[in-house]
Amino acid sequence: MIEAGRFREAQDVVDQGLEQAPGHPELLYWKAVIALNTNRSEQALEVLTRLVEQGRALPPHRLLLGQIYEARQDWQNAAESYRPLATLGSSRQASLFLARVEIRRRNYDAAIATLKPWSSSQNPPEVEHLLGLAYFGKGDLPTAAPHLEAAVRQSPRQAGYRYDLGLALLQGGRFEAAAEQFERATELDPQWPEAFLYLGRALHDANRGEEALQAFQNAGNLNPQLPLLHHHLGLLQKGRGNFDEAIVEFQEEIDSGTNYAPAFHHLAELISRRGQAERGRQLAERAVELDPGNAEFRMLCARLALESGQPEEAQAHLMVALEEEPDLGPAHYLLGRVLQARGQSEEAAREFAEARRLGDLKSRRTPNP
Amino acid sequence: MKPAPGLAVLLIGSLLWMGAASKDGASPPRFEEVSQAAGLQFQHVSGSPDKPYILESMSGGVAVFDFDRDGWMDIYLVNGNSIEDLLAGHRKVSNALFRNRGDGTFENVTEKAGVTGGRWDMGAVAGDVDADGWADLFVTGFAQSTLYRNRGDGTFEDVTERAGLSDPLWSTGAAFADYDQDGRLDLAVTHYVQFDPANPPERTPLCSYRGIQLQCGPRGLPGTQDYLYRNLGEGKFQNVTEAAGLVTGHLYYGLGVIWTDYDNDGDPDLFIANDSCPNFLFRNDGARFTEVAIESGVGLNENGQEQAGMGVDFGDVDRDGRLDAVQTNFSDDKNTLYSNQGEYFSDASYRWRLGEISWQYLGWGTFFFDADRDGWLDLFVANGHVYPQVDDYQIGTRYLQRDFLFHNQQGRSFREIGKEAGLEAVLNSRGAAYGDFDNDGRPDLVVTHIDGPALLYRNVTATEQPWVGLDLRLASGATAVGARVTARVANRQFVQEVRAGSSYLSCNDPRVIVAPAGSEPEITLRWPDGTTQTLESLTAGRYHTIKQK
Repeated sequence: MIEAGRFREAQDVVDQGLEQAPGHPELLYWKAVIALNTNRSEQALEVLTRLVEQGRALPPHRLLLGQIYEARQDWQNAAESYRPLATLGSSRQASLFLARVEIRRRNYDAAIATLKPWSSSQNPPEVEHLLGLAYFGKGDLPTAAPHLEAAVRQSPRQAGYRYDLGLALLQGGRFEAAAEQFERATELDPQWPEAFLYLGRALHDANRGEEALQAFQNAGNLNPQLPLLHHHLGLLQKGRGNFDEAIVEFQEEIDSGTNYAPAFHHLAELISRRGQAERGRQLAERAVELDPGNAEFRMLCARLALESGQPEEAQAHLMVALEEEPDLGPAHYLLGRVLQARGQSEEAAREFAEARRLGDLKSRRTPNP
Repeated sequence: MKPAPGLAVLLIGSLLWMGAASKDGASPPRFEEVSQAAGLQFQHVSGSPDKPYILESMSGGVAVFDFDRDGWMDIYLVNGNSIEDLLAGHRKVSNALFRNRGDGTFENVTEKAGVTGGRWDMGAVAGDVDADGWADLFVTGFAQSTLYRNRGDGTFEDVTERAGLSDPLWSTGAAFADYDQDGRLDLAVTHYVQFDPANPPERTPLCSYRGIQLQCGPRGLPGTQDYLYRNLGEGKFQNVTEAAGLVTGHLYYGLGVIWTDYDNDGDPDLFIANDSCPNFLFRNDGARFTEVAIESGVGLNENGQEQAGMGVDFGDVDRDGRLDAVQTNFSDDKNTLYSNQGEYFSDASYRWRLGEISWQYLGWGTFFFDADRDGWLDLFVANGHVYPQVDDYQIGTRYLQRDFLFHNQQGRSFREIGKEAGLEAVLNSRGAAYGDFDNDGRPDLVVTHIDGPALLYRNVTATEQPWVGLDLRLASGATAVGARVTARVANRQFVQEVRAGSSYLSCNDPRVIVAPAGSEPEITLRWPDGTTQTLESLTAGRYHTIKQK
């Protein structure tokens, strides 16, 4: 009946059974399943939690409970639901679910450890996928990519696997390969806006700007409110020198209520070039407010403040920038200009010299013997 | 090309300034491409089409000068070579000297003149190094520089070794000026990178652009020291680089070079546009130079980032009496206008609307000139990418590019009008210079193209704005390089300098055209030795040779 979607009738059967055998674990399991399928997750949670508290929960109860917590993004409780089963080493499914949750919780080493008993030279695709995600999360791209590639090899029609592999390849600077994975993901799931978004990003980075634009447009058609869509479009247009279009995109991103600091920074940079100094400064300050430790944002604020005749304010920004990144040559240069404007020529000269030294170092230029 | 009608209208007695003709909204600049008709047939050769080596991407310049003293500006075009021929010690192509016949056409006199060039040449600059009244020619190149002495009979002799100018390095830019004010032209020569075509550099991650594998350099290659040669007289030069303070401890990749008195203290300072490095500005402190680019605000852009400096010029774009600077740069970057604020410069590229438009273009030759004779300096920029491979990608830039003409909007900003002004060619430009080849007071253009022709653009701008041309000469008869011309109208002043060498490895017509709109200007000269002179009673509409007394 449940499989047929006849939940009301199934509910009646389960209720009758529970009248005859109150607390029967299997019946309670089905009661929770029915509750979940009829949008009464609270009731399902209550039933399953009680079973756990009473020490009568069976593995299916814990798995279902964990999934309910996952749906609620309650990763802590989800993990606690799966962990007893995974720890026993008796439930492969529980281990996979726990690893998935640990990845969500950014406990990548814990995820890898959870999967270890199930790992072999011939891992099933879901294990390869999770291992790949865990190593990707750790920033170990050389290890992540082969796992994700193995998952894709075994399940080539899994759009999600291709999407995750695409992300890892993108992160690793393999833009063409990433674009290929995202492209296949969009073919497998043409209604997936995020896949189109990252396809656009990969194409952009692979120097295929016109195709990237098309991918972004496809993403926008599927979900005009897609987070970061306007941001990526803005970056694309800015990179191609289409500054009018870039301004529109960053403005739309900001109008959508984003708190993503780079959007404010980029728009500030673009419009201040066009003589909108005051508005540019406001936007630049907002970027700093959202991400106070970002040296690049601080530098823009400093330059705009200096250009507006406020060297003290500029200096304050630069001091923070240099605290964050002491080897940032351009910040030393700007500080030199600020000190110059304040009449401190000796201090300024020191900053200019440091800017030059760091520039030479960064560009690996050979010194004059 | 033929002289413009009306050239013969001489207004005798005074410099008759027709204020009524200097109206706002006068015709914008307009050019016609006349290379074929003028007989300027030249094909530049620079390695193979895919440019695997950096040497293949950097030539060549153009020099505009009157080598035969007939009053008509001639053209010297620099040529490259192929790697195979270079390694084999051959060169199938040559540089070319085109003599202006004065009737709108040119004749190729290269062989007769004996100025075919070196192994693989880069740029050229004209200057009368022996002060005999005949302009000599200095040619930069790969592993070889050449000084051609003008014999005055239509021929030149190679006096490089005798002059002490033999140079095994890769020289690029060159510019003359009398930095020590002893009456003799000294020479600054920039050097690019250390490169051996027989042992090309090993590939590193730096040999790429946006992830595209390309030729290596300049980043990752060792730079080389730029040189300053002092003219000792009697045909000899001495390398005074170190003694003069030009050894900074930084080996950068020098390209464009210009002498200019940016601080208006009466002596020429030296600016060097460095590729992918901070620029150099050597302030002339009398006996020595002090490098002050970064603290002066012309070393880096407004964000403190180094740019890929290619070409350079200085000019008074806002007529405040101070010389501003322009530098052309790489794509994904802007060309930079440094506004001279007196004490230091500020990056005013965006305010002048030079920044955004140049983003997808890669700039080379550049110069300020008053294209429409409205009294405001316009700006030319030659464009073309380094890497042919960019055409295989969708990155918004192309290998072949059109050139820019920025029309000065009365000292407030520039408006780019290249296409509508007739600069429609889409090629790969490098060197560029202006020259008034028909002596009509409207500067014409000559632009070189890598692996392509040189194009001559005749200035056909409709203008009735009066003008006077000044051909300033020292008592010796040599062009008065370093002389400063100040034209004052009401409370504005307009400053120009006589120069030998600027742009990208090129050299403009050394004469000065004065045409500030409004009313009759007061023109004063400051000669290279610092003496001054006021000019009076000049006839408008023609060039005047003014000799220092």
